[in-house]
Amino acid sequence: MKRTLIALLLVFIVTGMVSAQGAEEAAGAYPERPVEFVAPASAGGGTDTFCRLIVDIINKNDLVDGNIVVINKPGGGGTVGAAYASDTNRDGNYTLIAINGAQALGLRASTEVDASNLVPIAALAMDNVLFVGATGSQYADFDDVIAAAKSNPGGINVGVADNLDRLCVEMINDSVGIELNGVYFDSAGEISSAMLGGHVDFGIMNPNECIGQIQADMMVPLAAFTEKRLDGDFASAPTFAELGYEDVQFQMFRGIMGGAGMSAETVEYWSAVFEQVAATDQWKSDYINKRALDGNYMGAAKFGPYATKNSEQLFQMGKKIGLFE
Amino acid sequence: MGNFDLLMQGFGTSFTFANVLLAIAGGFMGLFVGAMPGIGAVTGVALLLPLTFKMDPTSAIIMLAGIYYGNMYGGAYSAILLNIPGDSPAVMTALDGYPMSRKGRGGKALFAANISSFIGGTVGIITLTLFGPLLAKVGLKFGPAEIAALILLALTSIGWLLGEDPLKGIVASALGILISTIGMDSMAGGVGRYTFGSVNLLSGFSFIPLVIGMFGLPQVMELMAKKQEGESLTSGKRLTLKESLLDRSELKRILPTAFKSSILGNFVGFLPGAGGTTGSFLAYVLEKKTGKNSKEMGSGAIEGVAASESANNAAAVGAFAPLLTLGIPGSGTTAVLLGGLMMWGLQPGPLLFIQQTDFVWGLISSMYIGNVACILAGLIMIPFLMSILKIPRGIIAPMIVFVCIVGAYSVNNNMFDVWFMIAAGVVAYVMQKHKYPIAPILLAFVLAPRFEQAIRRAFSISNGSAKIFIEKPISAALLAATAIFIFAPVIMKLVKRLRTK
Repeated sequence: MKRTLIALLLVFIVTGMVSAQGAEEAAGAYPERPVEFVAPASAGGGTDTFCRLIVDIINKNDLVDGNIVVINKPGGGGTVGAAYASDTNRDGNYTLIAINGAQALGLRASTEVDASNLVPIAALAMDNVLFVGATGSQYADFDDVIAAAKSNPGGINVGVADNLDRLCVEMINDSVGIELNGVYFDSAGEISSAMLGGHVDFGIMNPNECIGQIQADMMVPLAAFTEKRLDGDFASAPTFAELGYEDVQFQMFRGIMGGAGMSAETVEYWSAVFEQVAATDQWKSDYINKRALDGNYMGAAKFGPYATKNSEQLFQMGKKIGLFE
Repeated sequence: MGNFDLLMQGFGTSFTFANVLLAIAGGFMGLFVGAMPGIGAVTGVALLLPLTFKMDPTSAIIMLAGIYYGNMYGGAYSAILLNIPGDSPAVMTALDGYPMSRKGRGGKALFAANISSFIGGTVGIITLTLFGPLLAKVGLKFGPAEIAALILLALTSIGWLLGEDPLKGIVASALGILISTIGMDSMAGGVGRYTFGSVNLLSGFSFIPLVIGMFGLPQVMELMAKKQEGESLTSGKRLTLKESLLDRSELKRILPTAFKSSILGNFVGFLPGAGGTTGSFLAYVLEKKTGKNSKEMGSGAIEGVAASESANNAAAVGAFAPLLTLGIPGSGTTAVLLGGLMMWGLQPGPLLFIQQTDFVWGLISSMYIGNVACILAGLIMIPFLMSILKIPRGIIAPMIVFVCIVGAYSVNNNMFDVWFMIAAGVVAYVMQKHKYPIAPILLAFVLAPRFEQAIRRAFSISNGSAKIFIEKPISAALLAATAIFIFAPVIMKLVKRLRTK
């Protein structure tokens, strides 16, 4: 009797252990090991902040039952990181990468990297673009810009920080029929110094790159590449559509893609996670509102075709002006 | 007087127990981060930034600023002891600091580095307190044309570093320019230059792996090749702390140099996009041109260490002026801090300086405290650091190789950089054997791309007209100075020859 009792107890213990293990496996089916989240830029920049804030929100709200590690792979305007994430030797299901519109265009144009096997998951934000001038210059509004450009073709300088900015200048030139000259700088900060020092006339900037200077009345937003007027400190800037140039409109996406070969199931999993991230108050207040971004979330079904079309259009436009030769 | 009152108010903010502790902690962390090759101030600050999101902004920036200037102290240590600059501004420190170590004067070099760093930091902070907003505005006058002229002036100095055989020096400089052109051309739509379809080449070679490879590795090979010459790095000389203290004549040698270099470095820090590396380089050049001991510089002159260290500390502090008063970052690290401001709920921009006086002056006053903490920590560490010099070669050599590899990897988290570092080391070793100087390679590598960018930007602005360089008074003056530097020796020689005839 005693023996059977012990035997029974043992059976209970063993089955209990097995079933507990099974339950644990079912609950933590994915991710079983840490997921790498590639920031294709150096630590501390815009892309890096984007990644780290997302991971912070995921951890605080327990949205993923596992670890996510941000790794920085800077270089080549995002292409080095993309080459790493799109490597078919890696397990795509455990690789995420942050990609913005500028980096996507760089990848489309790159002859060194083919990252077309990255799997679009979601876009979390859209960055707006402004045409900005220095306060106290001879240009009070965009009409003054047009007049000056007409009397001095090619002599009016606009600071740009990357190809997207440059293409924004090209959009204006095409639509208005003027010839503004895009001058490349390394960052929006450098454009600001050059503009405030009077070395260039204007700059192409995101709202969060010039809001401080606009509040201090050192810079003025002269026009916005947006659909509707922005509010707050940017309310004074008319949209290009209001000025009569309807086709001058642009936004840069900030999205996330999966590694090569990420399964449809996993894409869906992350799509749901990022949708929850985008709905948190922390995301809205710390990221979207502070940087004057548009927070419209796009799931995989919408984001994939959008990203491809967006980069293709920009690429063709850039090719026309000889940008990628 | 207004600034003085605000500063005193700032001390009220920063002199709380927690904030003093944070300033000291930041300074200490900076020392360590700086001493580790590959992890510079930018990475150190960026990695710790997320930890501060929930802190009070003033406390957060007090700690992070401490990491930034503490880093400038720490960068000198591995440069002096191991010939591996901990951070790029410390390259010029290695030029004289390491030869001093080899001659058994490593302790003196460390002392000189600490004291010069302190002087640089102090001069920088006082200038920031008194003239911050004003100098940030002066910095704006330096556009692409002015920066191009300034770098051209700096480039003339490569001539003195060419070594005994100028032809070999020119070959080395050309090699530096050549490898610097590899990679993405950010000014022409991101087209790759000399990439041969390789992604790794597209991002170009990084400076840190090159420096570690060219400075650090060859001396390990040298150590292994010359086994018979004693046991440790210092060739067996005994080192005591007492011998390492600077005597009065040595203090007299470094003080004027440190003050001169601090002022120059501080000003460079105010300029947009310049930073500590350019600052320490220009200061070294100035010392070489005007110093009393210029002949000895490059082979273990204490002035070289003083010039480089005081300038990069002063520049690090200077870079805060455009950040605080204009909302424009003047260096990589301050760009990261700009992102931090936003996360802490502050709006970076010119209004910060006017509206957030507690924050701004709390930070500035904390620098006085942090700077004192850094020099004390630095001085306490000297005996420990010096014990590295006593480690037998058989143990120190593999350790240096390990540090080189980790340092090269951690810049971009990429193995490619490690291979490049090793290749650079082998090339540098062979070049040294054939009496090619190494310093011109590094200087050309740093300055040539900056010069190219600035001059192309200037031409882009002027629509291809060279008049832009002459029309602007600052660039015209800088170009005139360059011309004098180049032609003065030639003319002097001619005059002499005419006279003797």
